[in-house]
Amino acid sequence: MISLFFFMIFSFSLYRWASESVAVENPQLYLIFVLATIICAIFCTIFLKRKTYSRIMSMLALVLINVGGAIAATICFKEYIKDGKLIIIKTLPAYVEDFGLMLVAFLVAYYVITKKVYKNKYVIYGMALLSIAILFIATLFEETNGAHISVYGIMPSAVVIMCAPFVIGHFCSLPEEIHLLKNPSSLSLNVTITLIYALLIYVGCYFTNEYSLVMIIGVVSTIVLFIKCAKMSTKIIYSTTAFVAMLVVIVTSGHIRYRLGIWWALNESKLEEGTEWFSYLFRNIKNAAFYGRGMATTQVRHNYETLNTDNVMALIIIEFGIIFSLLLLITTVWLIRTILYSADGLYEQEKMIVISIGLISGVMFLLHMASNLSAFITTGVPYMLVSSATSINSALAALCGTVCAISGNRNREVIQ
Amino acid sequence: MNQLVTIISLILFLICISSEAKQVKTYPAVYDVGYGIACDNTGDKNNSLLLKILNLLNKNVATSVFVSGSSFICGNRIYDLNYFHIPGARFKAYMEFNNNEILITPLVGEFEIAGVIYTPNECNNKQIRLMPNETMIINKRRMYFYTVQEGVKI
Repeated sequence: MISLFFFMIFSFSLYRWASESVAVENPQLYLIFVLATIICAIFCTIFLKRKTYSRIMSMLALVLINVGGAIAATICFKEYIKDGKLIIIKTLPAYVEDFGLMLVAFLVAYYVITKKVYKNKYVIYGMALLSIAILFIATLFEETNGAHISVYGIMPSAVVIMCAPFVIGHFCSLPEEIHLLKNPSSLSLNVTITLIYALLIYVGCYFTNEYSLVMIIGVVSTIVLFIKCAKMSTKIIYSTTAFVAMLVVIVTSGHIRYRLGIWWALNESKLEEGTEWFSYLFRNIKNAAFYGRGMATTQVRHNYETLNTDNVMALIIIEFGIIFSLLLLITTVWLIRTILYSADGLYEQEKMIVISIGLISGVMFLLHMASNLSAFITTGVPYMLVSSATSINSALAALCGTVCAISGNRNREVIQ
Repeated sequence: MNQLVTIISLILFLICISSEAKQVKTYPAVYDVGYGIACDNTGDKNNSLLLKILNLLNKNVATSVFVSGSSFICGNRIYDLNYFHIPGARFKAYMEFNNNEILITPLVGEFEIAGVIYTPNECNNKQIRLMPNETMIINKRRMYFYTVQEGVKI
């Protein structure tokens, strides 16, 4: 209850802070959005009273959503012309729509998962085939950069991210006795299928330029295969296969090679793609100071379209200040930690699903930070729930609903 | 000013959340068998001894039954009936369930039944019989076993 009280103070003061900025166009809508998040927090406190981990997870997620709303409300460049095209940045109405979709995804996932649909193996096969099929269908559409491909408005990466935990959870919880070969120590069917699934996704991603997805699935499957294989030799073989295949896909693409060049010599490289952001961030970080330069003060010459998606962390550091950014980082890490901790004491399948969800969100967060600080060659990855990314945010909300539905009641009475 | 209020309230929120997170209890080594869903080695839903026990203990538990061979589910955790291992208690035993008794072969660690301490060396792979309504103490924690014949209450 006390945390709810402080959450309310946080939301309203963030609202005050944002509404003083010059760029807010629609203060009423923003107020309604803030009130909606508070109502969600109250519902979480009431209905998830006995599920401590789920309640904490939802409250932390609502903090992130609040920050996302503040950013969406105070974007100073709503639309501009680049290369003769009018580009419109998604603003508060779009983020409010996203929030509605997230709520729907959360509730639907919660309802569906409590019916134990994921126990049905045909549903799992369908999910695996769907996520691979949608990547290959996406190749039929026009040739653009990864994140801009959508199949009837749905991002392939979001579908894969939503389905992957269930597929990994199912195949990694099959009994270990099934082996492909006679030698019981070598290959077991379940981990092999997980590996094949990951490799097929790599191929699909290669055709659609979804390199961030390659990294997410690659790191997650590497860790999961390392956990699940029985013997040390198979552990090393499987996880190395997944990791090396990921590296091969990444390095053979010209896109990443180009970025590797940027990483190698930041100052000498041409100011294209992400470099402008990096140099901008490091030029301005001393002006940002502890409390930031105030909302809607970010001005950059290039890369407007990733202002509130792929580069949102740089925007937060400059506008909100270093203290707030650190607190936001703590919140996000805590959210991921809570998801991973709620895997404790579950059955094998549920455990693997929850661990995969935690790993996926963790890897996404790490890739986002890395791409914003130019610490690692990556493509743009959205900050979960903060960035304006409809499909990915809905997928993550559905996964949060899954965690809430799966994780059990922690505070039951103990008889001693 | 607004920045300060936001940051301080976020810090306080995180502190409150952390104090709530500390309240999350991990599963203790005392398993109230009366809480959960059960099945025994036979895998028969209707004639499961453990299920009957659980039904007797708590009417609400038997809403659904998982028949997964030799395991039962207590709370959210799955227990293998044959190899019984208590995390943190350094105890592992092989257990067999008969009609109204439990035969235990300790493998690691020690436990106490009716004031007598048993260790794997003393037992030497022999089975120890745990009779209805007897208490087994592992690592200073009690484990209760109930059978259908006893009119049990917790």
